[in-house]
Amino acid sequence: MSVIVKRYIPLAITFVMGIIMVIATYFLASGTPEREATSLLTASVDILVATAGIIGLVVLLRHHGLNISRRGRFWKYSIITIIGVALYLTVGLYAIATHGRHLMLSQEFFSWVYSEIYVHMDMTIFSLLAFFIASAAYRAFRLRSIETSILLIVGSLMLLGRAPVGGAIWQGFPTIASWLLDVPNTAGNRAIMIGIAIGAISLAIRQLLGVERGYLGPERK
Amino acid sequence: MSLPKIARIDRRYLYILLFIFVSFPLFVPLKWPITISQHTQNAYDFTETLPAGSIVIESFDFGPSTITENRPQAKAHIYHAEKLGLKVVALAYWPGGAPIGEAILKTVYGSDFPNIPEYGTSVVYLGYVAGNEVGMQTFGDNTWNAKGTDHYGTAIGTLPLMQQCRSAANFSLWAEWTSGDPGITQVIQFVQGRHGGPSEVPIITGATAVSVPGIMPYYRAGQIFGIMNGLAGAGEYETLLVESTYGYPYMEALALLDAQSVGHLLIIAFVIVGNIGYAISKYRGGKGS
Amino acid sequence: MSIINEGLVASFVLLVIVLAEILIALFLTRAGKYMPKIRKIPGLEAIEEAVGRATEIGRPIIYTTGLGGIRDQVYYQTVAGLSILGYTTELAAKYGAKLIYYPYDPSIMPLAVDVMEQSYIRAGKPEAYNPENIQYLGGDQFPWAFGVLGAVHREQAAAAIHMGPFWAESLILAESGFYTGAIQVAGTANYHQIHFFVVACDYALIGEELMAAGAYLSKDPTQIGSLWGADFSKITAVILIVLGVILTVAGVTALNDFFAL
Repeated sequence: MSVIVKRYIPLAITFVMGIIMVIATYFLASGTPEREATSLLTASVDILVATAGIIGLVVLLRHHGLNISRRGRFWKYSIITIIGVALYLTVGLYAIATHGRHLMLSQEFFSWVYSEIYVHMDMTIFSLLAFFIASAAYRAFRLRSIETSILLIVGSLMLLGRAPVGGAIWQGFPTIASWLLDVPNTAGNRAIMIGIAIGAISLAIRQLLGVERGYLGPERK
Repeated sequence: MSLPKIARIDRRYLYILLFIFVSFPLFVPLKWPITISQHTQNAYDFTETLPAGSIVIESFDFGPSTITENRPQAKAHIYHAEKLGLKVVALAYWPGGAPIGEAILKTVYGSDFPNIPEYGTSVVYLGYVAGNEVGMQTFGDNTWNAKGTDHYGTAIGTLPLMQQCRSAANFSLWAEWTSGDPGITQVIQFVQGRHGGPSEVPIITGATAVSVPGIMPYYRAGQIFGIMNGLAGAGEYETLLVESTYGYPYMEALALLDAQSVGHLLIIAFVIVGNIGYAISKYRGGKGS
Repeated sequence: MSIINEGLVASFVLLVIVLAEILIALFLTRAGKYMPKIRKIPGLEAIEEAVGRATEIGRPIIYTTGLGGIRDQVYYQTVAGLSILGYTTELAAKYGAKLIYYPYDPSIMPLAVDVMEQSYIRAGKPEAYNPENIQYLGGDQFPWAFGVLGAVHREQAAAAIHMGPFWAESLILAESGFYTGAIQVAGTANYHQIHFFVVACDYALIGEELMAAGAYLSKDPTQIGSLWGADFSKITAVILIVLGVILTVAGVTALNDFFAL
């Protein structure tokens, strides 16, 4: 496919769409036909993106299907994956068919699968984070340098200040923890947020102008 | 185990210790006293100032993974709102939050919810509202445009409460229960920022403890009136309710905070032990881990 | 009647100022008037080291771009991650290392396929490109994260590179990579996760270092010029903050009133 189609047309579309959205945001009042038209434009992008969900499903099934047919590594887990996908898809589609998409959550079987299977699995997986935090804290909170020492001291103060036991040991711990959140943390986060916002604007301007093209792939030599 | 080896304990031992120690208080409550933070006190006090009949938006923007922190926050606040005679419009911008929100409303308003007399006049549940931040913006601009029916298929226009709740101008408080995006920053950007700022759309939030440091700049700028900081914040709010005239029969956070305390103490112990081992191995000229 | 929508006047003025600063810097560098020096970003320099290590020990590189898609508020991080993916893939192709990419959102898969394919072509190894090295694990946060965790362990990854928007799964990914002995380079602009990567990874890109990656790696003067312009924007922000503090303490509300427009 020629460079014009693969690079210049997407860059031109990016530029035009960017200008349209800036004009719409700053100059077109809500409720006007012109503003509604740009809302339709973004809605059409949503539709395009939604079809990507089907791409994901096809890729997933293809990968695991091939793994099963070739008896590749861990092919038995691929069977479980495909059964899981099929089960959830069937339950979800049945719920939409019987209750409509707004009310699918109130369909009994879908609700049961969600609350008795999905919720518990999600909670279990997230709870494993506690163990990872313990091992990361054990490894990282070392008096190796000034920075890690500050990390250690502040981390310990926050651990004590944000749990009831800290207040039970000494009333100063919750006060210190609150101060750490209110003052140094706020200052640091404000700086990071402003920096990130300016970086994001800079990146967006580079993309709109076609200067940043890395996401389209490297240019041919 | 020699002292320097303490600097390199197999993590599986740490995991076993964590499991045992954190489980213990779940069976044998330690009942450490709770210290109320100013952040939670502000959230409670602001809610107390709202006159009966004020409209409160309760937004369940979290999933099952953070249910332990966010559910007790939301439940305590909705209970408080119900006791104050506030009118609750509940919704969720996370699909995973919608069933959890419904369960919370059933706990507070009764298991017959929504088949209760006050449904439609004092409380409405819109369920999942699609669109993320755009959905929030639409809801703030015109609530009826965000979703045509409530969670149970009833047309919005037929609900008396929704006749009074047409846009952000009608909200007396937005209570945001959040663990990620879309969440509190999107509410500030797309609702509060577009409709007159904090004085017109006051916000309180309950967030996971890991998110709160990033939310503090908004709190310190006066854009958020109160924060429930993780499970501890939920426990503080429950304590405030218990100590008030309302009482609180649905204790959840307080039962878990002992386990959190033990977990924190254990991590500090790990850190101390690891540093002792590291210091000794460094002193002996070995390689600290 | 105002030309600019109510509540957005200050925002528009600031946007114009930032745009002007970036464009002026960009044109100055393009015209050769000045070439700004960009400081070393150790995380980005380490990517070549990571790829080299993977080649030496014959184990793959795992690459992820976090939980972003192209339609969310943090798309700019995903785009930055894709730029770095192109660079990393080209290096991997040159050195003969295997790179496996695990996308979260299916909407970026077509982009990723194109980026990786073009990278192999540019490296002169089009036949080495294998579309099965892009593996979709599902569009939910923790199933995806644990899929990547499993992959890091199963594949015994030599290097794990995570560039993009991450949430709670950041520590899960970082710890799993540490315990398999992988060299880890990570970057995110989600400020609530940066510290997890700093603590658990070998190299971390903090906030806007991720956004600068495309310019840094390309070494293109025009892109580096835009970074220079962004530095001016930061100086403008500092000036406004200091001015705001002084005026507020003095009881002058002009700046506050301007920002309320």
